[in-house]
Amino acid sequence: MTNLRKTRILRGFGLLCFLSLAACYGDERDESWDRERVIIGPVAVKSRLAYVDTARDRVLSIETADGRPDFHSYDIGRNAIFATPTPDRDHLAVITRGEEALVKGQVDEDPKLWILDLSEPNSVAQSYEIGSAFDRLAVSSDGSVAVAYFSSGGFDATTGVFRNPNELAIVDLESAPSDENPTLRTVRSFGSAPDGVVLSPPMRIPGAEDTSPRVFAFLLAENTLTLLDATHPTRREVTIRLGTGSTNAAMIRPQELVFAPNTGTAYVRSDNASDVLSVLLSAEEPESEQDNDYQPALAELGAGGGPADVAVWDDAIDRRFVLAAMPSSRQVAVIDADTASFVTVSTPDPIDRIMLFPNDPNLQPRVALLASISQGLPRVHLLALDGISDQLVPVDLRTVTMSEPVLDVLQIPGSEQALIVHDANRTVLGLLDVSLGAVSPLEGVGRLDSFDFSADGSFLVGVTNQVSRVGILDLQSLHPTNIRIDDDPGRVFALQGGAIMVDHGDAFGRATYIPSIDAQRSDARVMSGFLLEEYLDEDE
Amino acid sequence: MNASKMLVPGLIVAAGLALTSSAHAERYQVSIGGGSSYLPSKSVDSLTNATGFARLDLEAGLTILHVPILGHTEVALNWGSGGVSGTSFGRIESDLGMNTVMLLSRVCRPISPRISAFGEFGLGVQWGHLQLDDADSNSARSLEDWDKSAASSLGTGVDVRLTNQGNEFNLGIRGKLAYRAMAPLNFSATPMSEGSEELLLETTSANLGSVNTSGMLVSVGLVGSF
Repeated sequence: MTNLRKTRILRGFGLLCFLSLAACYGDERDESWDRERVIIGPVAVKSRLAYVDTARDRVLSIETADGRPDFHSYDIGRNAIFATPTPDRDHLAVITRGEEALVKGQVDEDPKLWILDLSEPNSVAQSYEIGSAFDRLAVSSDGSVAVAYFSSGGFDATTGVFRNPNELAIVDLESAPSDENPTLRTVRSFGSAPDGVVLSPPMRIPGAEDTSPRVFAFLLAENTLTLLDATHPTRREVTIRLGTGSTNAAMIRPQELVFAPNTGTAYVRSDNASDVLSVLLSAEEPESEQDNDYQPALAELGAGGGPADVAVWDDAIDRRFVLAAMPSSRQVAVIDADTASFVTVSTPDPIDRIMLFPNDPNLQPRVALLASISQGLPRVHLLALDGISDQLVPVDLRTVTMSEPVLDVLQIPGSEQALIVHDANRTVLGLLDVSLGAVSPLEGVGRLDSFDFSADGSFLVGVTNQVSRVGILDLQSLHPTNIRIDDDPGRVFALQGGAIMVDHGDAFGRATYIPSIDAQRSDARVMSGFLLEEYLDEDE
Repeated sequence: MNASKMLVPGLIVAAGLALTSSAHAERYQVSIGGGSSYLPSKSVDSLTNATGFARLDLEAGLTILHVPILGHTEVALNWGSGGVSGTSFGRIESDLGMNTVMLLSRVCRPISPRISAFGEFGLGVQWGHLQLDDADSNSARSLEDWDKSAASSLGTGVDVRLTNQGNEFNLGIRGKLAYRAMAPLNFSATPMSEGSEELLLETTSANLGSVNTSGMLVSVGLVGSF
């Protein structure tokens, strides 16, 4: 072999080495792989369980309606911060903070509200640009309007300089996103910021030219109640000052609203207020497009006792009544909402919790359960509501005495039973049959860390974090059964359709699926790693 | 990425592990070495920010044919092993181990009495083991899975003979560049078994997706021929 030929071979080999080494250079991986990962949820949405992955920007839904778990993934925006089901539980609403692109792998994205239809596996989430990184959301009961707002701690100082706590984004969920939808508003303030937003059910304004039902947003703040027509969000808000204005007076904090949509009325219970405030929306001719076609008429209902809880119901002839508990005077007031006339019923204890039974919206309540939670007394009271406003009908108030203090009362959906919690660790429980006034004691092996009622209220399912079992209690026969599972449970859900899902709190996704209340252990199935589905293909 | 970052440890491994026995350079060969495999596929990003990994190679070969002009041809059985680890999202700790076994066919041509160049082609199998742990939780179950897939290799290199003792044992150095085309490894989110004999529920494991480990290979090793 000649030297020239050897030299050519070596040069060729050297060139090959150089090209090969050059091929070894690759891109650095994206910064997105170093994002903080938080799993929001799981959230029960009818027969589905939904998880929001803040790092992979997606919602993972497990559908259980078909008798077997089925997984679906939905893409959302960057950095989810809040998720809640809509009141009808047909959709999941997620707020994403968005992102400011600083390095490769990041994207510029504005804060958005995402509405996901989890019943459609291939659906694309609807997104609305909401302008600010709000971290709370209120959705109207009919799903037509959503209001995004800030919680008291909802400002991320790394994302901006200023924060306007009185800013809102009002989203018309029945319309496509546009320049006018959502509407960004800053509501009038007297130094306070909203503690919460409550949306009314669709209400008609009696006598108004526009008779269509509309949703009103009630913004709850210290000494202030702000009212906004959320169906016409560009119209002016109405601010109602609460309290006397005296600097020495205690702050009035509105806490609870109940509505009478047919009469356009809202009833407001506030801390440190002596009465229930009635807000009646009555028609008024608007002076301009931005003006409202209503004005609120205020009335104080009650007997000056400082209500601690309120409940409303309609009687057989559609008269609306407000039941207000006034612990300071050891009375409950039954207020005719139309006439503001009231009767008071003396109670042995300072009542601060009211529940109406049955709680089926299609049935008229017959009994009010009255409890003194703050006092932890070993008894509750049952007040018959039939004829309660009639002076000629004697008050039927029965006391149900128990052996343990009552620390909490939970209503069982669609039934006339209530779950009584007797200790802080929820190890000693009682099942109160309101119709009979009987209490059946229940004892747990440990703290009842998570529980749920079946949709028809016939079963209670519960778990204790350190016990690898799911407890099932038939609320009719009170017969307890349990199913042993492989791992310690985190939370348990009784989903619509009858399936039970146990989430194990695993960041990779780990849940035990039990197809029905009647299922055996052999019917159960563990789902592993579903939050990392196609994780390795993320960048492909 | 910095290729030298991976190349240097590869060379160190090669040097550190270099051991061989020697004999005549005509019939049999054994080699041990190390190098760097590069992982340009985006699928690896989910596991690590490394773009390659150090590997160990062991090989035994046999000269099967002498061709007058071309030189000689060899077949060799090569085993290579390496792995990557990393953390994603600040909490998902990954550990991917990879092994390959290949049957290589090599054509060698002398350039000088001590130097010969070669080209090689190989077919074989790779198998990988993936383990994922949650760094933020003691209670989370680790996930692990195995998979195997077809592997092929096309490469070139040079052998430099350090000793020349005729039919006795001869020692040399081999440098090699190759491209390895691998069928992707597909993994499932199988919970790690704790060895318990307890009867467990039927488990459905999610599909984690696939990892493509194809890429360039740079290796250096000691070759003993006899």
